[in-house]
Amino acid sequence: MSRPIVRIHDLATDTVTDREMNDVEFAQYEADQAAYTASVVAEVEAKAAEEAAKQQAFNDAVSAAVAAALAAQQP
Amino acid sequence: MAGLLVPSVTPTPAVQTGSMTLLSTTTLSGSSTTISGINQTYRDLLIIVDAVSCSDATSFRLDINGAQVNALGSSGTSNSAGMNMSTNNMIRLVGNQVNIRAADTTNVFSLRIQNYATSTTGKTWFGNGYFFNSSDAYEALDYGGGTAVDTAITSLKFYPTAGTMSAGTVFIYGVK
Repeated sequence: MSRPIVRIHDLATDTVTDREMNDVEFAQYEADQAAYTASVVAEVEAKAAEEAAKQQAFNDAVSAAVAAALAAQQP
Repeated sequence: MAGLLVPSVTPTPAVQTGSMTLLSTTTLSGSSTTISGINQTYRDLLIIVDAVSCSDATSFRLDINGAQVNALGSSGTSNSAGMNMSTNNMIRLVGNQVNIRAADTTNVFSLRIQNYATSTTGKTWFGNGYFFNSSDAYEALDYGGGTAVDTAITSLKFYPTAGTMSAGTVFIYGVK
């Protein structure tokens, strides 16, 4: 499988080169991709946890309100 | 008596402190684009990244001298709170808590790096930007930062953290 293409513009000679990543670049690329994926997953999980906490707080508030209303109707 | 005909000549002004010279124009492409061999005879660099477009929703970064540097920086956006520019050893033109929208071309950034050619002190920078984020909203950016790394800056690497760049132009100006 071919590696990602990188572009290099050397201003000293004004030449533009497109080539596949070398070993060092590819290792850094894979590390960056892994770190980025992990950060995205962490962000999604944090948002999901935040939404779940909001939903739970809402459910708790509704339950408390219903319980209070029922208690108020007791003779 | 006929008057003396004096040709009208506008003298070329001497290069003044603060004047700018376009050093390079580079089309962004691939997984990264590196601009190397940067002229070392100016005081500052002004970098304009115009209409960059990426295949995926992504952060957009800039490495100095081909490697991530220990950089300190912060940024403020009009829409996403708390976006850090460079707490993870690179300069994020966009990233951390927000991404550029995929295949959008309205993304523009500028960055001025001061004293880039010195090899005796660290570097500072400031800039701004405007982009369409992956939640379909425009955002404006202001940021500033710096690094204690004292190596002269001779190359700059621009890259997304996902996908490839399909369009965009980098203009580099030398500031006297």
